[in-house]
Amino acid sequence: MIAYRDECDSQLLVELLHARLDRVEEEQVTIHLERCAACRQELDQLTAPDAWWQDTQSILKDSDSLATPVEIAPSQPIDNAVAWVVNLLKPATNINAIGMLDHWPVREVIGQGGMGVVVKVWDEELHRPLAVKLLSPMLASSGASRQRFFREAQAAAAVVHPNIVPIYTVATESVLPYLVMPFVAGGNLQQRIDREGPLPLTEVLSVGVQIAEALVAAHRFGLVHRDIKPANILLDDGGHRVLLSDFGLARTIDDASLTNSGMVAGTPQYMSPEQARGMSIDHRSDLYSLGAVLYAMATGRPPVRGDSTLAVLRRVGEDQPIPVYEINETMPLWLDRLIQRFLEKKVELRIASALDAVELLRSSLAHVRAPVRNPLVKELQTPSRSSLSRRILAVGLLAAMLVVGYVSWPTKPSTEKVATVSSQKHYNKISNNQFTAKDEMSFDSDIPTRLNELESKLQAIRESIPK
Amino acid sequence: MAIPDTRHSLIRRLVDRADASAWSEFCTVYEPVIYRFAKRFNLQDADAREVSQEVLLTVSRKVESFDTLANGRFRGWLSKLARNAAVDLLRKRRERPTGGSDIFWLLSVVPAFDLEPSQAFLQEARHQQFHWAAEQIRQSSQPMTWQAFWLTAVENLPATDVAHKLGMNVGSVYVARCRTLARIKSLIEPFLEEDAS
Ligand SMILES: Nc1ncnc2c1ncn2[C@@H]1O[C@H](COP(=O)(O)OP(=O)(O)O)[C@@H](O)[C@H]1O
Ligand SMILES: [Mg+2]
Repeated sequence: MIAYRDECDSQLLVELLHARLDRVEEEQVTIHLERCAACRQELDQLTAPDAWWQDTQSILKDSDSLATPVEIAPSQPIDNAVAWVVNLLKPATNINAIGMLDHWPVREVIGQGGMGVVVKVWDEELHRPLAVKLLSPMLASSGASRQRFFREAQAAAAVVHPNIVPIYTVATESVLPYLVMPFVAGGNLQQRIDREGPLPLTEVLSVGVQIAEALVAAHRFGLVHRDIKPANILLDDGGHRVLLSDFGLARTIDDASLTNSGMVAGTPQYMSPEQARGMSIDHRSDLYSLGAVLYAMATGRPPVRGDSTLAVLRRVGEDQPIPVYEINETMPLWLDRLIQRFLEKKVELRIASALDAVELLRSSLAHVRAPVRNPLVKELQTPSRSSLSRRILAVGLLAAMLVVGYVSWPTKPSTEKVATVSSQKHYNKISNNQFTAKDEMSFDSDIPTRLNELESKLQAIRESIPK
Repeated sequence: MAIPDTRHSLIRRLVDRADASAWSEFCTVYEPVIYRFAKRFNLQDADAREVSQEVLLTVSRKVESFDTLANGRFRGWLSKLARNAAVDLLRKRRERPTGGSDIFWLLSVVPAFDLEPSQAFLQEARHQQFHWAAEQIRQSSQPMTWQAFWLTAVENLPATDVAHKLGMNVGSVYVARCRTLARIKSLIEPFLEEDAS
């Protein structure tokens, strides 16, 4: 028998607030609260200072969506992202469905990404599954995200291509905006890589060709996808056809905001260096990302890795990826040269167009399938034996000439050479430091200085106004 | 008294790179803040979006060099970044009237061009943090708990009325109301640094 406790005790209130009492104690203190106005007031104060209570009221009062409780017991192991979807659906009329979205029975939640959730629905009329992508309610309230969502629809609907997931319908009037697409049954490329590790060489190239084809079509429309990565590449049932999806971040080339618009949200592992740095990008940024996808297919992992988004963002374009054949020794040496054409950090040196990419990947695929009939393109070939021996000869000759030169010109002290080399290194170091220092400065002091100037000008104007 | 803050300052989590979720949490809350802040400068939707992306990108690159331990002025820094980016874009977009000095021009295009930017920014930030945190807690609250909180704390109805309406007792209504705000507060606190004390 536990003593009935009906007295004021601040410590117990603190424990109550943090749900640290056992059930019996909690009940007792709650009963006490019922009677004791002073303790109720104290509990309020223990919770938060007055300002918090005032803000709660003034900031939240106009939100209708927050006013409605979520009718799902939190004990159910449904994660947040899925919970809100289920919550939005009307009760199912069909036992195979978890609920209704407008007139569509929803079968299951199939994917979740940066913009919202993708569910599988059943098209009763045509007897086929469809995929519906719903914008998350948190994003739906932001004009920017809504815009981005509808831009995806526009972008993808504009480009009709076998390797691009078509958009059937865009619903703007429903509870939440959504897009309707065909259901692509084979999952995404990321899932396949996670499951099976590196893909066989022919598949690496064949997926590459198809994505490059899709990019030819998109780029022809002046559209840069900006988010090429394995999770956005879907696989057909048999796994032979691949489809590019998720044009959520795509922009048209002539969109004025293209310059300067770095994409931040999402995985930066597949981003081009120029995109990671927020510089202006063009279609060649997609080609870099395609290279990163090729690398991931061949090795099972993206070319750049880091512990966090920040680390990756910083590292993109700085580290040289480990050669493919060092990770997966079944891959030929030339594949690394091929991928390097895409992963070229300098945009001007990178493979120039999606069309070139299609050609390079196609001819490489042909070579793998019939090596004798289809020799590897020149730019991927290892220097042949004969040219190699010619080079060795040339180097030998040069060495001989140097020896002769050295002997006949003994005044050159060898120590000076060493000194020059090391001071050159030293110079490089300094200039690197200078670069970062300058980089910091242009951001940290340039704009604020300008603003400070503005501020003092305004101050002067204020002071000059007679009171 | 202090709600025990088991969550570290968000900024410190960003700096430490301890977990990747810090970054997405940061973006979720601050992207709309910067966006709405930029809209105060009369920027178009696409431009405001550009400003928010640019600021987030800058933060991602510079946050580690930001000395959080020495001062708690992170939001001040952020609001400066946002204002600078907005002003830069305005400048880029304007058809430059010959002669006019920058400051008169700014005053004319931005009615509320406020040289004390942190106030407006802080308001937006507080607004967004509250909405975001409340949504997180709503998603994981029992309907009764949430309603008891909402009706008393937001709609300001007397606890006895709410208790009657929900078929609870007044003590439980108070427990629900206070626990809910405590949870909301514990989600917001990591966004407030040392200056919040
Ligand atoms: N049409 C589709 N058919 C089958 N699965 C899809 C389809 N569209 C998307 N998915 C799945 O949902 C995931 C997220 O979709 P995506 O469009 O990339 O959304 P986000 O923009 O949120 O990343 C994909 O990685 C994929 O697994
Ligand atoms: Mg995606």
